[in-house]
Amino acid sequence: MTDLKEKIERLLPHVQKPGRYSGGELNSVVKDPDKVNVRFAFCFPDVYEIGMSHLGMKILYSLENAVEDVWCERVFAPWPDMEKQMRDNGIPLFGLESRQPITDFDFIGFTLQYELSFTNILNMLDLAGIPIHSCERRELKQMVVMGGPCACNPEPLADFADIFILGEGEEVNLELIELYKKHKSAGSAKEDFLKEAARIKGIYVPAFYEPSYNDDGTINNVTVKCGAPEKITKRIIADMDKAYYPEKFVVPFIDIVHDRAMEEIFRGCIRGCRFCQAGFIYRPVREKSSDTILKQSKSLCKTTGYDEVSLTSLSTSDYTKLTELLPELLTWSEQNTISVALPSLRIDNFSDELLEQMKLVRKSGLTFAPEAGTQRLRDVINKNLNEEEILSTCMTAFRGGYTNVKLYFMMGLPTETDEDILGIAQLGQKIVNLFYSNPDKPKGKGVTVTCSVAMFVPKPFTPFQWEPQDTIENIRRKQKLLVDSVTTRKITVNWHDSYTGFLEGVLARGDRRLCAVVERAWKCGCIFDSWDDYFDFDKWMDCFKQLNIDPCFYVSRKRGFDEILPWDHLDYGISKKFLQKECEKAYNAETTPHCRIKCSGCGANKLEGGSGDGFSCSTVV
Amino acid sequence: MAFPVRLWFKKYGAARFISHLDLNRTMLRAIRRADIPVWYTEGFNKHPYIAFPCPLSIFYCGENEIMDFKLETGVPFAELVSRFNEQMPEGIEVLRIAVPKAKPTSIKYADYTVRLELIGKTGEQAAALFKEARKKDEIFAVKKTKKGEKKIEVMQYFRNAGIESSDNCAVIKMVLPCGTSENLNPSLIIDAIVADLGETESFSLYTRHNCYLEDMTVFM
Repeated sequence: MTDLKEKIERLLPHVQKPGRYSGGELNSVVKDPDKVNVRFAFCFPDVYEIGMSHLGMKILYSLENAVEDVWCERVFAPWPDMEKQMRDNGIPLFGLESRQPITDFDFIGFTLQYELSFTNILNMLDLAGIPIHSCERRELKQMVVMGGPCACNPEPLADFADIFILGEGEEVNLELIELYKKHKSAGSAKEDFLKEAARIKGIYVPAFYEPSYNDDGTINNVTVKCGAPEKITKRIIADMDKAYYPEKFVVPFIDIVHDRAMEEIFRGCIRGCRFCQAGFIYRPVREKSSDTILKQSKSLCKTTGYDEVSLTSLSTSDYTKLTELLPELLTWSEQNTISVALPSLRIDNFSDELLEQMKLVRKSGLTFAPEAGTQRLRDVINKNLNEEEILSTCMTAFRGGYTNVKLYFMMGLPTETDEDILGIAQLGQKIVNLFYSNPDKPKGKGVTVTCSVAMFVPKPFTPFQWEPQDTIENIRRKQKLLVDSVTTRKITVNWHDSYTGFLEGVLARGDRRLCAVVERAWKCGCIFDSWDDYFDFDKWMDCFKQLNIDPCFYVSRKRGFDEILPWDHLDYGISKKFLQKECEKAYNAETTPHCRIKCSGCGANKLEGGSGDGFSCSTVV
Repeated sequence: MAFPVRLWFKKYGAARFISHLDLNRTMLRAIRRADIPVWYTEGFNKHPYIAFPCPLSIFYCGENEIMDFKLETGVPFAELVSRFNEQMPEGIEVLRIAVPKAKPTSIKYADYTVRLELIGKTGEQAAALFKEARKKDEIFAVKKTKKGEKKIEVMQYFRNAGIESSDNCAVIKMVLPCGTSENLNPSLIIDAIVADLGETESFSLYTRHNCYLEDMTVFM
């Protein structure tokens, strides 16, 4: 075993950023392999710097290692230079803590953060010497489990995973590990373990569900086997103050994407923007108390030595106790030369009081997300935000000395017309004009308005889950239209190619027949698809063609409300009826007020056996 | 009044994969965790002032590496050492802290040990090859700097190298120019000689022992 460690260390001088593979970081957990019962490889199917920035991994890593006889190790996708070295020298994928091969670990866990990381999962299994198909792994070991946001439609990975974990993992992971221990000591067969696991709430064993298809390719029926439940309901943590949260983070040596303490302040979102999957699948809203947030932030900074803490949530300014939290948090941070970052602020509740407190926070630029260029389209997507609010917030910001504004938009939204595209440029222009109309504007300084435009990809469990995605050609035309309509150099337009968005769209709403495509793409050499340097669209399209599968069936087709969707047997607490109602309201540009104004009856407050009034999401604050 | 102190530390094992830039960050975080009363810079972006008079290359072990900083209040040095060590990651160990005696710019030399394995050869064979190589007239290496490439004759540094064997390695000891005016890494020299020997597969482990002044007394 020490042999492998030395072999790895000998390779490191030949690869970029050896710190990705060396391990030994502060607060990483090393246990005695002979004294643990369950070995868990927590795999992030992307490179170290991305994976190490992920909060969910930090939570589950600490949570599992808090169990004495469980050892959870981190594994990231090796960059292609390291992969080559590993394959050339016969080094299997290893855990960073033990530097032992993960091949015979009990659990191989993957987090599904984005669709374009799917091929990396297969590549990592292969590098570990683990058969990629669930059915080829016959023993009670190497249990491939997957969770995370993309588990809400995991069908394109159904052939590879033994178990999908739906929803929040803090409780269900431990329940699953306990059950595994029982079966391991009893020497059970894999199937017996899976049968019992399927009875745990939130556990989806794809092998127990078999879809059949109609002639037109849509799903006819899903047959449930082995006594598994008809519907699998996601898990949530009821009380965020009692939820497990790590006291320590592993502190990397090399620079990672988010290299700071992260303090989660609430889960879920009250807003209900119709394009936003996170806004639906993480419901209901559950807040931490400001005491907990303070205590945890202090502990994290103390144990890591980080000098920056970021408050994370889907919409920071919707935290109800923000004005109570900030004074105390900022006093502490000031005394300890720690900076506080408040990402994800909304325009409409960016108050003067908040701005006053924000002055103590290090100033970068201002970033807002109007998402659409016209009021009509903002109403369609239920981005409850009007132009006046956008402009008045910009004015407040300009008065506060800001000169850079960054705006996020989407292109390809349902019902979108060219007028909506031109509206993006017009809104940018209005903000530029506003800056120059301000008599107190800082002397000698110009304004920059950056409009970043992303391609809209319809996602499961949103009101737009039935919508066709805009075509690559049309998105291109719209991008050109937008760029041509900008007449000042004070506005910069950023956009990204739409090929990745197309593939993301196919996989996001795909069914099990796509497993073969993912497998073939990986065999053809597709990995790191979310990286421009590696993404090969043509190769992917060849794989679809070879397997006689039309990607447009998944991406460009308008689905009927009565169609059985590939994720219909998964229950995220949001009723299909509610989503349909929201979709119909969208067509009429009708908005839905947020959860604190009026409960829209999505169903999420009935999760965890709630009576419908168990969570603050349904109460007017 | 803040006063300057000098800290010596060992860097080995997994820590040799920490680059200089990453080491800087690692030390800053250790200082915060250990709650060391370091002096902060007074600019807009306040941060603890620390400096490494003689940065160590990535992949090298260091036996007596140096970090300078300033203390805001007096703390017994022995206590500081243990507070630091409680917070150090695997492979970094603080050895001692003292008041600096010499200026960082007075560093002129450093000594290194290279454990070098020629794949397929015993340590004795490798050592014999290197001993033979000491007799060469001149071998050139190209040093890449920010200002461009520079051709360097390496035999002048290698001629006096101590060469022994141990296990499967040749053990080579060298004293090389080090510091702000002239700085040479042993890997530059070793790589040139290995290439000259026509060896394709080798593995070497570098250790720096000490930094020295002009008169070869240890930099303190």
